[in-house]
Amino acid sequence: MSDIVEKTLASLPRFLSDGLLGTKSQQTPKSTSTRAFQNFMRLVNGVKSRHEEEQIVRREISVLKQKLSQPDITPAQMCDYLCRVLYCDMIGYDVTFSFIHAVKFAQKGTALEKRIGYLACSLLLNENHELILLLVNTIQKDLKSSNLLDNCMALTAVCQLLNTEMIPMVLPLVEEKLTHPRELVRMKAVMCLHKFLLKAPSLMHNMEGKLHKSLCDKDPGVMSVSVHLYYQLIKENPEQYESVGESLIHIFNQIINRRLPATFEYHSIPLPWLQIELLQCLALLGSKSQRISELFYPLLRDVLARTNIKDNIAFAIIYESIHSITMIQPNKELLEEASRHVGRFLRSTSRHLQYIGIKALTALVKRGAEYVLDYQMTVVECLDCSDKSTQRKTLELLSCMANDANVAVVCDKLLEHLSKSSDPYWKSDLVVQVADLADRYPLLFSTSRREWYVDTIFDLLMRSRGCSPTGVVDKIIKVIGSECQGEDNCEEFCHYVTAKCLETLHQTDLTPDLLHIIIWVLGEYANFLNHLPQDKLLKPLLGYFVNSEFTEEVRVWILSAMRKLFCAGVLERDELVSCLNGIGTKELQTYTRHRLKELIHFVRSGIRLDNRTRLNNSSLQFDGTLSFLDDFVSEALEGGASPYKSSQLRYMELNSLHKSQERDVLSGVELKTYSQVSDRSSASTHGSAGRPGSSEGGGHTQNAKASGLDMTGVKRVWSKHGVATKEEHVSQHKLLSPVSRQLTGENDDDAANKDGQDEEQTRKHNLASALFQGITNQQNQKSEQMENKTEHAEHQNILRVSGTTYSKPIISTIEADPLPRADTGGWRELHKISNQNLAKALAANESFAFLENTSSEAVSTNEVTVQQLTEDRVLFKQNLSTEECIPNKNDSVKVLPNDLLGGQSPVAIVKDDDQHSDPDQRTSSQKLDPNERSMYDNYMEEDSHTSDVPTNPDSHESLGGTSLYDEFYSNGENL
Amino acid sequence: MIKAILVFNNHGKPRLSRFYQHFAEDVQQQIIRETFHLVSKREDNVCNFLEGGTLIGGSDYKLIYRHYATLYFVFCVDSSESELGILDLIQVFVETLDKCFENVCELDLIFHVDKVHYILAELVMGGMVLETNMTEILTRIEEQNKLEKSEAGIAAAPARAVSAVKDMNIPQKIKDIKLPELPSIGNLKFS
Repeated sequence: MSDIVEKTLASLPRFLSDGLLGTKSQQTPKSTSTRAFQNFMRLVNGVKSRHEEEQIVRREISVLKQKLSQPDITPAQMCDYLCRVLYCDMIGYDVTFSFIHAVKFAQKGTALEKRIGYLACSLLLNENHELILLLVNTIQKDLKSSNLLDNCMALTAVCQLLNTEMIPMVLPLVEEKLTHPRELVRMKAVMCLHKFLLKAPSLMHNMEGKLHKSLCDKDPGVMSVSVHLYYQLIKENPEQYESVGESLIHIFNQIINRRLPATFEYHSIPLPWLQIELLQCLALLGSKSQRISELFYPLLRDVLARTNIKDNIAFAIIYESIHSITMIQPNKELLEEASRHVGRFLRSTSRHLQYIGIKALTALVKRGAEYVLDYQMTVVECLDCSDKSTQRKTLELLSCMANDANVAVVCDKLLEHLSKSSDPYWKSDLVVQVADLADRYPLLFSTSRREWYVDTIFDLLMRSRGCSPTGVVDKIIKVIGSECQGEDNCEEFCHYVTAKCLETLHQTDLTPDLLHIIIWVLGEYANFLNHLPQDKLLKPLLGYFVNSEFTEEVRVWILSAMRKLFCAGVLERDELVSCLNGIGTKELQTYTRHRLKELIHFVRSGIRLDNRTRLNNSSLQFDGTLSFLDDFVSEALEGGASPYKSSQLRYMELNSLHKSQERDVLSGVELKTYSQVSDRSSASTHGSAGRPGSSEGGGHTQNAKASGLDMTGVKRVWSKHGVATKEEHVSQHKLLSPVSRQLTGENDDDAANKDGQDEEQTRKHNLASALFQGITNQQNQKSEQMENKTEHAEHQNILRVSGTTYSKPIISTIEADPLPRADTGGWRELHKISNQNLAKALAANESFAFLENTSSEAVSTNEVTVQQLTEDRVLFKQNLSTEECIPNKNDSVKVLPNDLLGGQSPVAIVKDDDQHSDPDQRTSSQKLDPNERSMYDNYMEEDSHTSDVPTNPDSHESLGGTSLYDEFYSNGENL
Repeated sequence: MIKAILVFNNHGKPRLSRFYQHFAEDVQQQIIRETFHLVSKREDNVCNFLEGGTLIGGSDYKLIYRHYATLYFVFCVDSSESELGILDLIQVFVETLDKCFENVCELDLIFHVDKVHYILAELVMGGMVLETNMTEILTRIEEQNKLEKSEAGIAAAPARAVSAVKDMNIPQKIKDIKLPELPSIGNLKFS
């Protein structure tokens, strides 16, 4: 090693002087490298350690610092210094000292100085750097200059350096340049506009005319850069720019008919990059418009027929055409033609073309799964390809062509690669894909595969620190949730999952993602943990709670898991209370502290509610007056509790009391402004007990603890529903399970033969037949589909949504509105009324104004809650989505198997009307009665009506959470 | 859109970096290291496209590279760019450099960093392809050099400009750029 270094050092100077000062200095007359730079480079290249390099570079930087601040530097010297600075910057050293010099040089007079100054600025500074402000003036001046070079430099700088606020300062000047006599300047001006469009689209509204003019520019170069701009515009809004389509088609026609000068040809193809971009634009336009598609067909035919040159760039154009064909309104003939060209790609020996071929096939499969049939063996071979990129693309293709029949095999393949791969990015990608598939075809996961899935995911999340993409945790939770529900042997699986979680919980260094899943599982399936000694659970949970590494979010999850565990009887009351009281609340955020308090109160009260009990509002009547609590409330009042006042009322009273005082004095939670009050009460909507723990009525809470609520009767009614639907669900599973069983059998078969080349071939064939199963059997299964379909229709109330989007991954609806949809209409109106009332009352700022409105007060209380819920949803979205996982499953889009096989037939999507219904009831018919008004309308009227009570404490979806309890307190007041 | 253009040698030493999207200084270094790590692992007989790397744009992010002797030219692009198109764009870039420096080598990229950036600025602007015709790029560079000089009062006629324009039918000969023999540098391990 050392002699190599020596040789290097010995040969370098000779080489450098030869190369740069000898022959080369003739060719590049303005040799910018000086001896100092060469020496510096020699030292840097000769270093043996990072530390040594750092020393050398630091020394160099200090020299440069001194030299740059000298007053009279010649342009050549300065060029040299700045080149050295740029090198130091590139290898990652701090050169902040030079920024101001770069700006100063850009402001200087001569072109050489200016040019290097601008270059240094654009490499060293970024658009938000404060020194840019010093540069704006210079840029403006240079834009106004009559010198071509000045203009070009300024436009390049504008493109790189200006931020959104500075754009208006130069926009008129840049616009002016669109009519500059030189095409180079026009091109650069258009590129600047492109950048502006990305940064500040709002500024570009009135530019249409000018843009169109540049699109029709007589210089093909300007025209081709304006297509970049139009691509951006079309991408944002394809409908609006449909009219551009014809111009683009016209341009395209001119290009492929070789109307342009030969100088625009690359490898004897005219403007290939422009062709690619035009194809992309037209694909976007054609996907929305039949008319453009029709105009586009002959062009595509032409392109595919013409480009028979064997050159990379020609293949690039062919790929783009294939992609366009799959994007625009489908044309049978063109799709066939595209499929033929895909064959050309796939049969090629070039790795590049194979990769592109797989990519093209993926696009084609989205239009029709049958196109993949011709290339089965190629696809299987690509799966075993040595090139990771091609493998990756092939797996993407597999997950695209997954259908009911082959999803198990596809998942196996994905998981196999997941365990083999070492690339964390690919892994996280695969996790998403598997979670997606598991989400789309949940029923086809056999027991062993489910366990494998959980193991793999846990393993992956343990290892991949922080690179699992957002949303994947929600997806995994959803998959686990749906697997734990409903199938015959789900209990076994639940046991497995909870045991796995427990085991993992005791390990150290968990990632927040994994912890999230574990906490959720432990809470949700708490009833599988009954046998555990409680300190085994409580300790680690508390440990994570006080661990400052985790976010507030994790703490909230832990609290809700604790509540669930308590309800299931895993945790003992006294111990839990003492543990919770022991937690220091100082570091906690208000929201978490609030939840903690709520939990303590809830646990103290000793109410154990069944986790399984959930809201089912199709058969549910709310007792708005909470009359069943009358006894309890009167008892409390006798015991000396103060009557309940609604938050508004409290606010009004206090306001009138302390009118003269400053606002700041009213620092108590209840005394704050309207919006803050709503924050508090909405927090309690999420609160585990739905009990406003921090409200004034402290006495009530105490009493509640003493008396305890008898909820047993209510519980029974609820569990009945759960049982009733479970059976129905199981029957649906049985319907599909034979398919999966048959599949796994086949899979075992092909796993069995592995030796010998013949057997290798058989294996591949088996794999191919397993992979392409659903697609090949298309014809046979069609009749079967029809039967299935009708059965399904009878089983469920299906909302049929037609569409052929089955191939796209169906996105789970975690973000869905947590409020019941059916109710929104009613709520909205009420909302309006109450808002008006509230506004009036607040305007009057008199307590009696509110008292007069008592009739509508109940309305307004509820209304506030709705608003809060919506606001709150934004704040705690993450938290919500976790808790929503189960209920949301009802809402998730389920694709019926038979439709996938058909490919062309409309996809039936099962949607429950209401996502808040009991998860156990997801198959039960839940059609909304059109006559049935919003349940809140009903309950407002039926004052004395007593019925089921929402006993679901653990869900935010106890919509009335706060409002119900508000009611409960106001009832007490009336008494 | 092109997010970044990176050139580094076989040891991962950066030779040229241009980012068209702002990243903090340390993130830039991280991207260079990560890209080198991803690219250098790949064998010669596999395709020159890569997906992955979360730093720049997550799944909407591709690496397209070419390996010439001791240098890797890597373009980091988003999903809207055509792989094969970018592959040829790299070729245009390298051919232009080669024309400009007569057998470009690693050290040219360092010592003439300004010129390299001027060429790049004509090829790609703000992350979009500006001009793909090599002759046109060379003419522009020469024109700007001329202007610069005439302004600075140097009357030296750029002989190379004439030769560049004359040499219109640039053959494919430069496809495999031979860098000056630097065996000792090639075997050096920088730790």
